[in-house]
Formats: sequence, C-alpha cells, structure tokens
Amino acid sequence: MRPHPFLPLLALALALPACSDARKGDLPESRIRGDAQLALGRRTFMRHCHECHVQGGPGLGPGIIDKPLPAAAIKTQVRVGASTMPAFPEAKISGDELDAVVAYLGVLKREGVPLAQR
Amino acid sequence: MTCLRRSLLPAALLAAAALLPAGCFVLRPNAGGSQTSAADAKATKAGARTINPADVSLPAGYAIAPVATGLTYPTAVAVDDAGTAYVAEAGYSYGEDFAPPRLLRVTPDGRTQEVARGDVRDGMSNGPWTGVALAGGAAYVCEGGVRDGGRLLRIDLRSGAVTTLVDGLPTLGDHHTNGPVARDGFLYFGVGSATNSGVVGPDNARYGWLKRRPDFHDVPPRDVTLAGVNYTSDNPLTPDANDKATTGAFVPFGTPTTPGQVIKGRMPCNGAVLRVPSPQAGDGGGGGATTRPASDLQLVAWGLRNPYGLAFAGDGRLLVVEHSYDVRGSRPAWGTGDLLWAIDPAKPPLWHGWPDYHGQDRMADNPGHYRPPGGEAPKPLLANRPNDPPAPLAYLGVHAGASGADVSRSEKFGHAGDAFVAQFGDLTPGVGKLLAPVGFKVVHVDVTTGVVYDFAVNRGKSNGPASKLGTGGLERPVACRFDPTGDALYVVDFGVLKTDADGKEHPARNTGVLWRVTRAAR
Repeated sequence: MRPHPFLPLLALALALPACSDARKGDLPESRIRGDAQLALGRRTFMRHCHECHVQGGPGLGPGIIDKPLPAAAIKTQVRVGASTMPAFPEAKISGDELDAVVAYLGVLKREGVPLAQR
Repeated sequence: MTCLRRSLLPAALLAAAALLPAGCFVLRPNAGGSQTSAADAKATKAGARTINPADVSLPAGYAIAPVATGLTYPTAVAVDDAGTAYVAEAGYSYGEDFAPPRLLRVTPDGRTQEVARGDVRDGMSNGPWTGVALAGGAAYVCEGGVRDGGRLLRIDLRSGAVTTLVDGLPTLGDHHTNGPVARDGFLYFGVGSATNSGVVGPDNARYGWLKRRPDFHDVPPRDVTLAGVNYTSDNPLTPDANDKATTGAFVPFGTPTTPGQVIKGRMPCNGAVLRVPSPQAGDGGGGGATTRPASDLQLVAWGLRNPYGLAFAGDGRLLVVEHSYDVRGSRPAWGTGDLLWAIDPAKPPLWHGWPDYHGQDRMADNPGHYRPPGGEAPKPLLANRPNDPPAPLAYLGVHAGASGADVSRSEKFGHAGDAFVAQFGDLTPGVGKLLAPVGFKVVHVDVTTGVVYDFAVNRGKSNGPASKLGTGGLERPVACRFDPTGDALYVVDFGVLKTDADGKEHPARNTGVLWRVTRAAR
C-alpha cells in the first residue's frame, strides 16, 4: 500500500516542534506533593527521562513538553523507542508509572514556569 | 477532512513518534554549550568576561553576588569559622594549559592573597588542584597529578608550608585526584579513572597524556577477571597513520587481554573513593603531617568512573557525584547521565559498576540505550561482576559535568538536607553530541526521592554558559560549598572554556569567579 502523499508532511509538521529549544521547568512544590499521581510521575521522570530531557527540556534528546503529541503518541514512543531513544518496557516503567509520567508532563507543559524566566 | 484525519492520525502519530528523536539527532549539528568556531575560541581573551548577578535566576528570596573575579581556573572553596574564604586555582585546564596551582585567601573586599602554590616544571604543573577542606589551621588540597601522579597535600594556613600526605596516586590520565572532605578522623578523596571506559585509546592521546605516559592505564583495587574483550584502534604512538593497535581493559595501550585473565588488584587504585587518617596533633613532620605509606590508604568504594564531588549528608552517608561515560574512544557509551551516589563508609567497600554498568544497568544488556548512533553498546569487560551495583540516589543530565557538591544544613538557607550540585556543563563535541546545552547551573537534589531541582540558572529562553548567551551570569559552576554557618552558599565558577568543532578545548585564564548566594530573612 502506498503511503498517502500528505503523510510525510504531516509527520514532518509534528516533528518540527520537537527540535525547539524552548525551556519549561519547575512546578510549585505544593502542586506536586498534593497529587499522588503527579508525585509518582515526577519520580519516574527523574529516574528514566531527566537524563536526556533535563527538566523536560532539550539536552541529549529533544524537549518533551513543547510538542503537540497526545498522550498515546508519547506512550508509544516510550514503549517502542526509536533510533536514539531506547524503548522502556513494562519491566522498567510500569503502566501506572507511564500514565503518571504523561500526567506530570502535561501539567508541566501547562503550568510549569522555568526558573530562568521568573 | 474529518475522514482524512481519522485515517491518517494513528499512522501519523506513529510516524512522528518514530521521527522525532532520530530526525532531530542525526540531522542536527551538535548544539552543546561550549562549541564555538575555532576562530572565536582562540579569540577569547584572558580576563574577558562580563559579570552581572541580575543575569542569574534564583528561587524567590535568594540573592547572588560576586565575591572575587579574575581567577584562573578556580575549582574549589572552603570557608573558615571567621568567614574567610579560601579558593583553590587548579593550575591546569583541559586544553593542556598549565599555570601554577594556587591556594588563595579572599579578603573582605574581594582581593586575593596567595597562601601557597604548586611548582611548575618544564612548563607543567602537577595540577589540577581540585578541592580544599579546612581543619586544624590547615587546608587539605587534592592535587590532580597530571605530571607526577595524584597527591593529597596539607597546607599550613599561616606559613603556607606544603606537606605531602599521600602521593603516587594513579591519576595521570583523563581524570584526577578529587576532594577532599574531612570526617570522623579521616580525609576522603576521589581517584578518577585513567580512561573513559576501561580501555586506553586514541582519545587519551588527544587529551595529551597517552604520549607522555604510554604505559598508564586503569588500576582496580581488587582482583578482577577479564572477559578478554579487546578493541583495535588507530595507533597515535607511531607516525604511520595506518598503524593499528589492539588494547584490552586495565592494561597499557596496545596490550591485548585474554578471557579469564586476572588483573591483580592493588592500592593505590583509581576509579574509587579512598580515605586516609587525618593528621593528629603529635604526628611527626611540620604541622603534624608526614607522607603516609600506601598501607594507610583505605578503600571506601570502587567501580566509579570519576568520583568528583564529595560531601557528607546529615545521616553520615558520603554523597559522591560521578561523571558518567562519554561517547569517545575505543569503547564509547551513549546516554549515560551523571550520577549521585550515597555511600555508607562504615560498610565494606562496594563496586559501583564501572566500566560495565551505568547505575544498575549492564550496558551490554541494554544496547538500545547505550549504543551510540552507528556503533555498538559497550561489550562487558569483566567476566564476573564483583557485586550487584547499588542503586544511584539520583540521575543527572547526560554530559552535565556534575561536579562539586555540598549539603544544606540550615533552615535559614532552606532545603535543609538536600544536596547542592554544581554542574560544569558539557564539553561537546569532544565527549559526544547534544541537541542543547546541558549543565552550566547549580541544582539541588532531594536525597530521599532523587528529585532534581534547578537552583541557580542563567536567565534566558535557552540554557547555556553566560558567554554563549551573551550575558553576565554563570559560566561553568564547578563547586559549591556552604560556609560554617550554613547560611551562605559559595559557588565556584571555573570561567570560560570553549571547544571547537574538532573537540579541542580552549580555556581562558582570569575569567573565574567566586559567587556567594544568600537568602533574605523570612
């Protein structure tokens, strides 16, 4: 089956924001500590994601709180991996932990205020 | 349009998911924090640096101010009970620039007075001096040892007399003797590995030492049995550009190893944290110190690539900041963030995974994570692991250059119990490639959860050293240390160190700064 001619353009359009260097950052501590899922998401993020996506921003990998991909796409990427990004199977990040990471990233994207811009 | 969206969306999402990191990483040039053009790097003048505390962002209520400027490669600070700061200048920078290592006293008006200096012979010092601790009217300084091997020095603060407590440490290579910290009658210090990942290669010639010391290599403290893995590389020790050499682990360049070969452990070793009894009143020698025999050295922990920052937590655990692997040499490793460990010095010494593990991951078992683009994951060098590596306390950014650390103990300053870690910042492209600068700031880490928080960062829409951002903020924070009250955090800023497209380092003298962070009364 031939791919639809719009598919590469759409994929490219979605990929471009990942190349942005925009920084996001800290959430108010009370926002995290009062929410068990966000707290789990942050711990999981710090263990598995922070190395390459420092505080959600770019580093070895692209920024991950500045792209329009929905939760399903993030989860797919985490599970499947791609090229330089490793796959994280259930044994490394459980389903609950992955849900929590996505929730944490969503809140960080919406509400995070980079320290550098305060 | 609705129909099109429905039919394409899942595939597009998958395609985008697949394209995001690959497309960006492979296609984009290195965008780390230090790389500039060769012309720009060479044009950076000694002392050319703007200082502006307003360009540094801190959490609300904190303030930062420069205490001393114009320093040459400062690496460490300690503050006495009277509030006087002592700063160590390294006397060496990557880029093979040698200057006299010095211990400086900082006067209240920001001027510096030289207390002591290391010698320079044939244009080389034995630096870098990497740390300073104060105790009993003396400063204890770790001398990196690029010329003669690492040393632990005692410097009398009144006379400036220098006594060698420990010498002959095997740190003639990539990494140096680091620390020290004093605790419970001991001086603790780190001894960095000779190589990136256990195998001497052409990268070590680029760093300068392989041609000076072709027989130098890593030394374990305990017997290790090798898997017999060897790597064939260009041979920079001969003029023939086509000459190759085959090298195994824990042996000199050009020496192959065999399966089951045992490398005898010995002290002093490298890739480890060691301790030695502190000088006591009544010891022989000037100021109560003499050179200690190797038998006085005690192993605290090993299997650590470059244990740089050392600090004691309130519960008595030794926090150790480890520089993780680079993407260089015969055995590059990809995607390894710097690590923060918590080590109980009262327990038997544990192996922490180097050169086969990153944290608790054996790299060969996780090739998707640790394989450099276009390469292979590092093969196991050891036939048997000495023990299961413990879990790191926290994971920091890849190539962040996480360096000196201290622990807050003041409710007035805040974040009591957290570890503060200075991040030197990346040295790409010599150590790997990045999509954005990493490091160049001070973070604090909740040692109970491993959560990392930015603390002092440069203002702006992107991260990076002040020279890249065009501001007067932080350049390369390399150490942070609280004063005895715990109410002020001193941050040592190494100064400008740029790299060119070939990975060559270009440091600039007289650009180092000592900063001081305080918090307004609440």
